[in-house]
Amino acid sequence: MTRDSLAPLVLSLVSIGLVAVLWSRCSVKPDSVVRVPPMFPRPALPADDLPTAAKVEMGRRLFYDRRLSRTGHTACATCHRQELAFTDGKAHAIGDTGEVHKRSTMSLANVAYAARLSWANPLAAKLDLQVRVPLFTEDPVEMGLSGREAMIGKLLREEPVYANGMPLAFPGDAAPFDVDHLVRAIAAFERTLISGDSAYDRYAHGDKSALTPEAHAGMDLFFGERLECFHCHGGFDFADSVTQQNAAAAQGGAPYHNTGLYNLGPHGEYPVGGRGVYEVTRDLNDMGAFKAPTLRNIAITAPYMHDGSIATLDAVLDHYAAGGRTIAEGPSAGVGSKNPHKSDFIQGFKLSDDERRSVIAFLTSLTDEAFLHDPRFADPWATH
Amino acid sequence: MPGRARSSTLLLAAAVSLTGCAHNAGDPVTIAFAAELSGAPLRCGAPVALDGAKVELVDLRLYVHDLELVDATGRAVPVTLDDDGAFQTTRIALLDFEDASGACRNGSPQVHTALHGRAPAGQYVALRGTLGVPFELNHGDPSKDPPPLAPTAMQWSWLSGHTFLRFEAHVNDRPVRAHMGSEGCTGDLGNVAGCKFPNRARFEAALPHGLAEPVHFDLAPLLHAALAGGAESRGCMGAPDDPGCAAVYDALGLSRLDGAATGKVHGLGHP
Repeated sequence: MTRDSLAPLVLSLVSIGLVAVLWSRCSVKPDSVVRVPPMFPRPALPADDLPTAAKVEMGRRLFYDRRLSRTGHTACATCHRQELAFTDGKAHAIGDTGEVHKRSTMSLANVAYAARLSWANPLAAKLDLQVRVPLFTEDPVEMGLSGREAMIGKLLREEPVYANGMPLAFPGDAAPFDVDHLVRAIAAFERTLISGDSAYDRYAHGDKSALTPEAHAGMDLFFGERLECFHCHGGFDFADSVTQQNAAAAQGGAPYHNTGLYNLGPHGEYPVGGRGVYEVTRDLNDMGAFKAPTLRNIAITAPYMHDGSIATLDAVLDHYAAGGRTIAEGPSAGVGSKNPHKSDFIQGFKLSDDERRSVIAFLTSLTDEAFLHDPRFADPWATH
Repeated sequence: MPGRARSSTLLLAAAVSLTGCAHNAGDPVTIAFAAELSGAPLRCGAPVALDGAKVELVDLRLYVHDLELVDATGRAVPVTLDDDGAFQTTRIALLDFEDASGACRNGSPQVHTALHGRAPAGQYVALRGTLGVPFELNHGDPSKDPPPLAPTAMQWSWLSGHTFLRFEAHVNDRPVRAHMGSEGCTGDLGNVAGCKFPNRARFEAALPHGLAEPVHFDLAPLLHAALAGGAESRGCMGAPDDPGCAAVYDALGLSRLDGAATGKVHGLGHP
């Protein structure tokens, strides 16, 4: 065998090796299913439960499956609608049995980066454990499956999509037909819901024509010290409760803020049932403290705040311009700007009409149409 | 610190297993419980009258642990429960009075109203214990909980931990609930550091006929407490600042200031 005839063999051996290396890396590397936009850091994915295509597909099926509810009418997607950036457009979500939730549905955009889940639960750091909350919680009932784990097991074993798909999603697990595997699959799907292709992103990535002059002026206001927006809604996700693969770079924070939305009593009380982190920690310093949600797609996720109590972005700007909301009468009457637990960044500001339009134009530039229509996130059952 | 924590856990485990061995020498005991409403048996699918109202049971489940039998001299001996792989471990038990019939449709057909364990032979006049799940067992990863702690109906998914007591009824078709568990916890789900309101109630039930007669659990005090929040209230889901919870904390002998057991559970045991 000559040296020349050996070369292709060596080459093909090398490429087989390369393919093998790539293959083995692909089998654990989630790039193919969790697509990270160019300006984003990599999300912190659980090393022992990485999203795979098979797992994400199961999660997507489950996310859109109405059989995962007490009456059979409610799926995760009922309150988390793709076209509304996975919110529902309601001030208060409505559970499967008609109970009205105390909170407004949060967007799931970029939930893979959330350092803490939900509006005000510092305990909720793991997405798969958070998925249990809407499934099983009873105050109020969301999906109403508390006590129905046998029914869940039956669905997973009897629906062919799950009976065939769950073992592929969880290879090596003898019987992946329980709540634990279900919540892990849904969490895997939710981690793929990444939104980073808005006009603002295209601008930040070098396309200087992507923002209108008005939106550009709004961006300068947003990132300026007069409005102070970016202190809580900063960074790639326009949020501060954010983590990522390089956790040190994320600063490891999980902050919450009282924005002076209510002030019902001497301790700056918020209405019972809507008191924020206080309702978990029972520490008065946490009264009225909520997470600063991502502002991505914010123009289409009205109404606003944890309780949907502000209908428009314009009125949200009124609240922050006043340094807190004043409610003149009724059970929620109070001067929010005087709330003793209010964040130092909520000091109020003056904004001309032009400036106000600019800020709203900038916030609107955070809408990611591709995300809202990405077929990877759409209802998989509808295609049958 | 982690090393120290681990060694003390090991020591604790060793101590538990040693005492466990000692108790295995005891005699088998059965401690039966009977759910009642002012003397009338309270069970699913069998509405009873209370103060002219129709009361229908919807759910009744609770955890008990660290049980002790007390003799006439005041000497207390621990009860070591049998680990049955379902409702009991050696330390905790799930008492389950609902059988999924009638209005208890969110429940399960199996009931568990009699605890099985071992205790030294003796003439006992009272049963003492704690209502709830011990802190060190309460806040683990819910997918890895042992059988008595595994039912989702008894897991507090939002606040972490378990619902220690789950009592629900329809009073003239109005739903009323009394749920209790630890509140004000800090840490992460699956790794909670501590809770401001432990909310582990203590009970002491007189046993006028020893263990030959079931321990009576009269739910009337708890039902009255759950109704005390007024017509708008649906009872108590554990929150100490919920007006619907004030009387429920009192009825369980729990302080509304810090969730300490400052009294006894009303209705559990002979008055």
